[in-house]
Amino acid sequence: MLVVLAFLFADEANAIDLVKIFSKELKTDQADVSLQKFIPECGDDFGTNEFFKLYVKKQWEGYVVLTRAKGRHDYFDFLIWYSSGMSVKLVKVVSYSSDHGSEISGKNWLLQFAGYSGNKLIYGKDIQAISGATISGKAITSKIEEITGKLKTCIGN
Amino acid sequence: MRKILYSLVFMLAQLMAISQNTSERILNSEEKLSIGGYAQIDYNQKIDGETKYNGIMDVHRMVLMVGYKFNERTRFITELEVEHVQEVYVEQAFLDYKLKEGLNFRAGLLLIPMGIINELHEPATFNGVERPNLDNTLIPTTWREIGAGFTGRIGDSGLKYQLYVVNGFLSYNGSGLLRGSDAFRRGRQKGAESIFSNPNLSGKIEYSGISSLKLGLSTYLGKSQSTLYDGIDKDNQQLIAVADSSVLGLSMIGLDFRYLKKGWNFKGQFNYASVKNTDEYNEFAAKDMGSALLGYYLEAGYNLLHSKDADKKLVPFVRYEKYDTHYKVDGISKNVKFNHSDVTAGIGWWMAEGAVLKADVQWLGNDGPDDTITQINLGVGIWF
Repeated sequence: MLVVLAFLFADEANAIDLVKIFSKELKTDQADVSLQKFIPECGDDFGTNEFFKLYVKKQWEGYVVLTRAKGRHDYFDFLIWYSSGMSVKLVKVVSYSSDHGSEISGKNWLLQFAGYSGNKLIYGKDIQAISGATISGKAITSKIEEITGKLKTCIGN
Repeated sequence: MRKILYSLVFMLAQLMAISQNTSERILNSEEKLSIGGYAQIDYNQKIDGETKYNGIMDVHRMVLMVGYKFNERTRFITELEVEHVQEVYVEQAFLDYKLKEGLNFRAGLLLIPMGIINELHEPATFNGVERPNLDNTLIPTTWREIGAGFTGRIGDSGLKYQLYVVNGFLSYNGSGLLRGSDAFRRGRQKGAESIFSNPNLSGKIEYSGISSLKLGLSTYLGKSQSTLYDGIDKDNQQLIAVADSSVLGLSMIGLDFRYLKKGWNFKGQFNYASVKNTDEYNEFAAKDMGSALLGYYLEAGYNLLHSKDADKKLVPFVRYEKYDTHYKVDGISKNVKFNHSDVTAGIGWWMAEGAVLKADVQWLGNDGPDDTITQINLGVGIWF
């Protein structure tokens, strides 16, 4: 009961702590990770997406984009981490409110995007479809394709 | 004083650090309301060499889904359904509260997570004009109850779970409602002034961590509800015993899998239900409920347009079903007609992800002496 009450009043749960996420992902200390927000020069096309440069132990490790796509009932937030050479290193769902379609937040399924660097992506062909999560699966696939395309043009890689 | 000042500076620094490294995702107003729906329009035609049968054309289901997100944590989702053009139902209506990432509390009218179709029943998501017969007879889709519980997932492992305490089937309301031919179907209360005398437990675990495969394990445990408990003296053992004769105990499990790869899709489901107190119930209510129910189906389909297009699909499929509502009986004799074997073969043309035309043939058989029924079905399915 107390645990439930603690959840009810803990409001930070909506904030997405990227440092925490990356330190966990890279198995390194939080102090070793920093993210620097930036606005791509052709920024207007990117809407509400947020862009960061990722540094690990002061070494530049590429770009991180925090973005949002729509599932069956709800929007979900996810991040894409690009290497400095603009290929996808990691896709991670950081907030998925609805349970409908939440299968797409599975680590193994998201591994399919690793190495992607901007060709046409067809859900069900290039990206393995996932049962019960068609809408979310398609949405995240096309969003990754869109962001990658735009970011590459913008950054000029 | 200096200490306090240092602490304040430290806290401020912490706060600033947080504000730089975290991101608060704010909902736009257009992200608050979501509208969707689905419809299923069917033509069913029995065919026989000797007898003439009228076909049935039916707007089987027309459903409007509305979701509203009050804030980042709180959502309401409802599906309003019109069945056969005239019957109005609420298919689901629940409030969902996100306790933390991956853990939600849910309360209201909920779909029981048992098998595949009961939760995922939109016509664009399954092969065949009609839902599998197992999911009609053994699992009374659309099975929903008022209740509350938790839904969640375990990190990014691909493991999802649901656990609810819910109301259960009504087995007696002056006369017995549950019978051998369709088991629990007539006991569905659908959240309409539903009678509650015994809490039931419903849960499901799903795993999608293996590429292309999704596995599900469902369980449902509890007792049916009866009007006979209402207003009786708590010390009156005789009346309590009479009321006890009007309820059944139910333990159901379900196993399901779905496999999607390179245009192929396979799915299958197995259900077993153990029903307690059937000898007393059948005698008391003059019914013929089985004491164990068993059923399974296997289905294979292939998308002929797999390599061409993401949205359009042309999927021939075949499904074999076996289900028996008298798998075991207690104190009555088995009705072999309740042991069904059905084959469905057909094709679906998805013009878009949520728009499909379907055609199939069904050979519906049972262990009774009657001939197999052959039925042709044509259907329109939409989902948006």
